[in-house]
Amino acid sequence: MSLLLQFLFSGLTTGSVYALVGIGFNIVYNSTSILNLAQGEFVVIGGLMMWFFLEGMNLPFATSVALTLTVAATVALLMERLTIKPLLKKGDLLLMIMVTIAVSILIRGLLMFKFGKDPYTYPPFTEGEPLVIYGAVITQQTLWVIGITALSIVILYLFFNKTMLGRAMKACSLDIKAARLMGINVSNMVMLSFIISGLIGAIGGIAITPISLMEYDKGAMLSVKGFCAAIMGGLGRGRGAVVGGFTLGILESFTAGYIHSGFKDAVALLIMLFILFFRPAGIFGKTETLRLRKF
Amino acid sequence: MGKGNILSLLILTLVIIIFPIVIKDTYLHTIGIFAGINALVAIGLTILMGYAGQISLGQAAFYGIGAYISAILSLHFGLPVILSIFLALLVSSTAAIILAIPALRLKGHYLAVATLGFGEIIHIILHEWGPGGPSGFGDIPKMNLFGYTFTSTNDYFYLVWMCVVVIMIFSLNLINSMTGKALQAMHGSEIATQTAGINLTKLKIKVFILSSIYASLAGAMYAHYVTFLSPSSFSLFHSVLFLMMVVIGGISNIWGGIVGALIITILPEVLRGFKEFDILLYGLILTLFLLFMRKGLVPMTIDTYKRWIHR
Amino acid sequence: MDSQITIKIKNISKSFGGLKALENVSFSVKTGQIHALIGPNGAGKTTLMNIISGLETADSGEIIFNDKPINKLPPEKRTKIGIARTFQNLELFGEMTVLENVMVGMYLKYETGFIKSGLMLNSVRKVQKDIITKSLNILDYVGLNHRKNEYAKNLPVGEQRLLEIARAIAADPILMLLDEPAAGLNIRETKNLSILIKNLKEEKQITLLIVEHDMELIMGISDTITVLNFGKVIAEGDPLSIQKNPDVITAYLGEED
Ligand SMILES: Nc1ncnc2c1ncn2[C@@H]1O[C@H](COP(=O)(O)OP(=O)(O)O)[C@@H](O)[C@H]1O
Ligand SMILES: [Mg+2]
Repeated sequence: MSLLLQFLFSGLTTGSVYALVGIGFNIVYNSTSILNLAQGEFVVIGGLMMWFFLEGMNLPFATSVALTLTVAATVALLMERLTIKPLLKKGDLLLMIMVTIAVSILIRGLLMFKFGKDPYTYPPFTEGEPLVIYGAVITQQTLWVIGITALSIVILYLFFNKTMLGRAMKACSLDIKAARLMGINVSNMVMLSFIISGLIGAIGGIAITPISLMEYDKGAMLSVKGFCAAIMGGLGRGRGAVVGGFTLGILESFTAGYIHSGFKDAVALLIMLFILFFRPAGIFGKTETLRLRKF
Repeated sequence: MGKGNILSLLILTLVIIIFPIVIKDTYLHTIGIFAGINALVAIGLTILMGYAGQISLGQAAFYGIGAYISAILSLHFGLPVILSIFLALLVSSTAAIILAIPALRLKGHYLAVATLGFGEIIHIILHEWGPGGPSGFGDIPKMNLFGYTFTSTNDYFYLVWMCVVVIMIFSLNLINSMTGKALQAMHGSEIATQTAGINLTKLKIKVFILSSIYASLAGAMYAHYVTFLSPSSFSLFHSVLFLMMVVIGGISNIWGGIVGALIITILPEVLRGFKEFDILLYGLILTLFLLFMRKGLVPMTIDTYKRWIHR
Repeated sequence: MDSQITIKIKNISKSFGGLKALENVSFSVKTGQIHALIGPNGAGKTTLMNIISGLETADSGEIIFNDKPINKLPPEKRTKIGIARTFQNLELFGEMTVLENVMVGMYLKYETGFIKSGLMLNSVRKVQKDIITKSLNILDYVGLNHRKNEYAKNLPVGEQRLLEIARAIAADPILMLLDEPAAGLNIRETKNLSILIKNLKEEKQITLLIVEHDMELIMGISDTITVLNFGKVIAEGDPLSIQKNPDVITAYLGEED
């Protein structure tokens, strides 16, 4: 029982990050129909830059967070303006996916140049005794990760449903032409979607690094898993990615705990292939909701 | 096959013959061998991506299957190397079919992620169940043909590049044939291709098999030349490197595969002193090519040449 | 059994979500005729063409071609048994030359496998020469020979429409479906098109089902006209009777305001 709970919580923790990356995928997908395979890199940016400001420069916690998020947003902004925007109008899907891969390698290269190949970590946000529930040890950072994820989801929900800007973005994702007619600047919305998805990736990275260490080349797998989370819930559907992310995290944690840790990564890959091949609308999504979109 | 292609083939053959004679440095021969091995994969990927309009981010998997199967069969089962290679190609084709049948329904980025997922699964399998696990295994028999064992770098240089030339001739014939036109048509418009009476499913499966055979042949060459294998040579990063070769050389021309392979193989050797730069540089080059030189080097050179002639 | 009928559309229905694009549509195309399918935009004409050529499946109903039901056949098989088509939204192979576009249309008659092609066997070479000769003849026939080495994407719309027809001819069909072949054509081009279509019927003995908005063209070449409105057949007959049909007139006037 205690072991099971332990695995469950560790699954929820990693699952949080997958959910955040998955939401990032959805936001960009909704505004552009692109899969941003550089999505996972923003988690790494979050973790490593936080380390840099907090430990490397000894800045206060809040300042470090603010600076880290600024860096992530800037990278996302540059990515969108310099690579996505010029290519988007060509409407070549193959090209778009390759350019997101290119950017992901570029980011990875920059991170390796700056940080080398070592793993990094910093102390948990709060010191203190871990919680013990039925013999399962739950550190305070675990609660931070899950809490921050939940908060981000709530904020995103409010943003997309209650603010003008968020609604405008939503309108774009539903019908670009109509949004244009309503006078919404679609190009700015695309830019914003990259920034938001970059930010939530970085938030995930900042929160998880005290638990699971961060190194320059973690982004690719995070992208795959975030995508898996997104597609489990049906690509483009915000809440789907949350359920998908947590489910994936838990499945992974059980696989590593009860079967073999070497197969941990295979879980996401197998689920992803299964869905792509047999249930492209997602496990939790209905078939009719599958939207085949072009630019 | 047009005059340009025949001339290029002749020049290529000539360069291949002369290179080891003129240049004595075995280190350069070794780089040449790896470039040739990469070129085999890249040629297949160009046909798959540039002509048929499909994408694969899992080409390293087929490369790995070719290498591992051929190595295991010859080392642990004592099969003649040439037979092992042949069987490795068969296994790889089967894997291609298994991947292609469900993946065919997928387009664009879905296909990209599906192939990426397939590649990573193969990587995990090699990692967990391959001989020696993550640290790999050695003592793989050298290439052996009609009683002659290939030992020197010279031997392998000629062997690999002979394969490249043969594969190149085959591929040029193919893309200039009706089959090649059907592939290109599929790229242009799938529904028009279908209503022209062409079975898309069959065509896509075949082109997947073709590219997997090229990649696994390359893998087998690698295994029997290096005689040591570990999973780290067959990761996602290698799939991306193959993709880069195609993009840099020029996706719409199979000569681009060779040029791209040469550049991507030589590049890290040139940058030996700057180990910590290399990923950054790869990323930068790929991004710049996609943004500003989308056509790739070979088609761009041909365009420039044509413009120069018509001046 | 009626051997005079090339294709029979039987009770075809199709809806997209809540929208009924086709409702119980039935009519027959007689062998050797030019049969026009007209109706306002959104009437379901293209959808029907797609169902006949197999790109979409009907929710119910049957398509009978030369006395055989073909509902279950994939698009490429339907072309092989003699149904070729053109597209309203031009579906050319833009990065290929005009000649190559036509050659692809002939692939189904001369398929050579990967291995044979790669080895460039003599038989392949011969077939290739054959295909080029025949394709050039077809280009001559539609009047595009002077464009043979240009990329399809660089042709003006009028010539692109002709090229679509040329590619369809290459499949050597029994029945040809033309979806708005005159859209975007000027008066002279339309005139040439009507001659070409008549020639397809008379010289090549191809049965034609044509969707078109240009009434002058339709009235001039059609043997029979079927009118579709909101997914339903509202009239059928020869050009004269259709022109006088009050339902048809309302359908069209209704659209104009
Ligand atoms: N793939 C589709 N999905 C949803 N609606 C469609 C689709 N194809 C056609 N329709 C709708 O079906 C109706 C008939 O369309 P179409 O057959 O193209 O008409 P026509 O060719 O007569 O102008 C239209 O209202 C159109 O919007
Ligand atoms: Mg139409």
